[in-house]
Amino acid sequence: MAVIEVQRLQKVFRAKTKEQGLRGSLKALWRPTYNEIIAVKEISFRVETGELLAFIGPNGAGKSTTIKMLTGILTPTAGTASVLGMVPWEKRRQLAYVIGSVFGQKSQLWYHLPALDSFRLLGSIYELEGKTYEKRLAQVVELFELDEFIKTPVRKLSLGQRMRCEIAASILHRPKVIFLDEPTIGLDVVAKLKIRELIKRLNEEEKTTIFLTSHDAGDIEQLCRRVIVVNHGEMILDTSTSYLKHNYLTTKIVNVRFAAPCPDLTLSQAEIIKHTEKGVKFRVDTKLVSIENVLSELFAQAHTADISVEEPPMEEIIRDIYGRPAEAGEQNAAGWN
Amino acid sequence: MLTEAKNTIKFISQYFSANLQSAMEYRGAFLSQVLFMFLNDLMLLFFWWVLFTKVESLGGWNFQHVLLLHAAVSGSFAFQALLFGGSFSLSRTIAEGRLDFYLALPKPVLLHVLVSRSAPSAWGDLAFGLVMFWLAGSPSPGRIAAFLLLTFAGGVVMASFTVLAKSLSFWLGHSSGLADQLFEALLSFSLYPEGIFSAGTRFLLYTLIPAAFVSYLPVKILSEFSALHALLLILFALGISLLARFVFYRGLKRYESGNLVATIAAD
Amino acid sequence: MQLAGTRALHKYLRVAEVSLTNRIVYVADHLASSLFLILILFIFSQLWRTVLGEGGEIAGLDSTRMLWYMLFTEVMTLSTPNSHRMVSEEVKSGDIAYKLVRPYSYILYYFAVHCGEFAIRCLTNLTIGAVFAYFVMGPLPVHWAQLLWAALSTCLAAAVNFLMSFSLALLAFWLEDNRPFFWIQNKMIFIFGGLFIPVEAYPAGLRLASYLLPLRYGVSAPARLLVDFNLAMACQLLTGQIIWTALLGLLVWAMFRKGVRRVHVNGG
Repeated sequence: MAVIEVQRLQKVFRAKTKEQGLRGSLKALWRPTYNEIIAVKEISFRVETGELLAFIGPNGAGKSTTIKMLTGILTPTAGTASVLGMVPWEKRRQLAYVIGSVFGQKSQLWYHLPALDSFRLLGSIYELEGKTYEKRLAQVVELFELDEFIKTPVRKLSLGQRMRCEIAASILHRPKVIFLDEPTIGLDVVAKLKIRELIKRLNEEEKTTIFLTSHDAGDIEQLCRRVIVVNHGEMILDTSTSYLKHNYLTTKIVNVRFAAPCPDLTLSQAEIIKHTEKGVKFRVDTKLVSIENVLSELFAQAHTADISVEEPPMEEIIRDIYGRPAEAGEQNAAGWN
Repeated sequence: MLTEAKNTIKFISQYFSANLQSAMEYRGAFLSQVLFMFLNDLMLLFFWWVLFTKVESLGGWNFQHVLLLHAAVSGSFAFQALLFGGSFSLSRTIAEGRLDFYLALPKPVLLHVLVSRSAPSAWGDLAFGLVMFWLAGSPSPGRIAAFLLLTFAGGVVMASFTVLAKSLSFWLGHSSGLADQLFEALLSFSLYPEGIFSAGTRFLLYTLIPAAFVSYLPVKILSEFSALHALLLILFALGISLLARFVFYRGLKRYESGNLVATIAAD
Repeated sequence: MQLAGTRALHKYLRVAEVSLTNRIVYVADHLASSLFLILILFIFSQLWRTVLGEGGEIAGLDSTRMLWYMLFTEVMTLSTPNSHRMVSEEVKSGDIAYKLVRPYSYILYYFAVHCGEFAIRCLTNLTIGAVFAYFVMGPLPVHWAQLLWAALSTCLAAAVNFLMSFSLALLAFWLEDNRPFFWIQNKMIFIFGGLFIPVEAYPAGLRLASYLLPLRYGVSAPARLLVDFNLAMACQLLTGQIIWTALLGLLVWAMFRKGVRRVHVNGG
């Protein structure tokens, strides 16, 4: 049975436009004009139990709006959705008992108190009592490795530690679905790895369906089995991560710092983004050419002092997806009726 | 020596006008802040108005005197907030290591910290002070000038007191709470007629919590001029500002020596 | 049905408990308002001694009772928490949306937060202030029945205060800056709340205005019952408090519903 089912969901915002200054304010009061912003434009998809799904796209793509509709915060302008059999914006309070949510920056923990106190409170709020709560708490603490700092005031925790507590807090009541909105935002590399590991463990051990949004390509690559890509409020791709990896995340960006100045450089199989005497930044499509070849060509021409390889930014991946024509048998933009 | 004084005045007035201009950028917000502060101060007088319908005088003071009292406090506070607005956040400035910014600049640190901020709402306090002074009777250009001078001295006293209290942060870490309570005490005592207090309390108010120099003496001087009182006020203002300066720079030495870091870490 | 009710009550009691704990994490901050209380009590003890002397009275209260009166009104005011600021911020920034996803009532949640903090602040301030007042002015003769009436009145007063502040905080749904309203409310408490003098002592026009506004029911009702009790007045005050709690409760509920609809349409 599908835990989440979305059909042609649409959200249009009407924002009042106002001209500058006092006259503008008065004018807006007397005869308001509106700007229509289409945040989400007919999205449809299904999510089955136990899936670990990434909902990605650049800023302003409509990710947060979609999650808000699925958690019942926003009412859509058109379309239907059902989460665990309930219409989110109609049964918000009941739904709250069976879903969990973590919204990146907003904290549900009391800042000056230890996370343990907030957990106890959440236990009461979700009506977990006595032994049930204690047992669950022990499970969660073990799963997220919180033992070391659960009694430390939240304000003294690092962002990574706090994030672990936030996600742990969101699953105390054993929700069947959790929504994680940008869970790794602002974290350093080590913390990100840890969070991803814990989320994966959560999904494997408790079979919780995890719906996460991100604009970090690393989150997708290492965490999710399925990816839905949105841009400008539309779904442009709904596919497995391996497919995405194989076909779209093949570009790497390489940064090289020279040991000695190298003003002339040619790379026949890579696209140079920036080249100065001191270093070079170039893009390689690993599907078309092996990185080894490109690097050999580079090393033949320059002495390298430092080298780093990165994923291209999300925006570039999206552009790439948009730019590529549909190949035969390729799954994309599913759900258009 | 004279050029030094001239430069200092120029320095203060430059910061003052920069702060004022920046506040005026948001004309609407500025005006409403001023208005609200004015109304705010007016509400406090309300209690006195009711009280004086029941009693004739309070330790020899009548409603007129109380008006002058409030005018003086508002005026003194206004001068502190407008000219030396940085005094209010001094604890935080010290505790968060922001003095480093000022230390790197070629101006006297204490003065710089004090004049770098200005509270635009205090214009409302100043307006209130002047209006109440006018209502208290017999305003004349000479008396208005005297009022401004006396409240300027009062402002110096308040600012110095604040600096003294907040300089504790050099030794005690973030102790803004205590300093704020002391300031609250100074302000509160200044708002009530001297006559209600016993001799012991009055002694305190002429020394450790110098409410007398913020409001009582200005009121006395404006009601019945006494050269002695005026001299006392000026001398005290001078004295306390020198003391504040002395204590601050002692603390600053401690700050520069890096001892403060240990205090902050332990906080 | 009954079980659900007790579970819900337990939920909010826990919220109040956490709120209380949160308040006393920083002991120095917690005690700071008590310091101010002592300061103001000291000043007014001197004031009333001077004004009322040996036999003077205002609204039937001598200097000792006037000081105790002020103790109670100040305790009420100083112990009232500022959670409405948090509410304002949440509404303005749209963070309130995230609280709506939790299985509790937003209004009741904040009422519990308010009560938890109020309880500990009130207890602390009252204890410290009463000890001070006792040593400075002497004891206040009270009958135990008065204490019961006053306790009930205090609970109602806390509700009235909460609802007043909460309704102003909810204005954030419609206004960009609702801070002036808090300022005004604060100052009006001085006057119409009867903070320094019982409103019965006011000149006629002001007295009428004070009777009509809810402020005195949040600030000075319990104080009045403790320094000068008579059954008729007690009934009248408590009735007033109940009526205002109901009226303000209705207002808050209506404002909240209307405001939240905006959230559901417009998001954060």
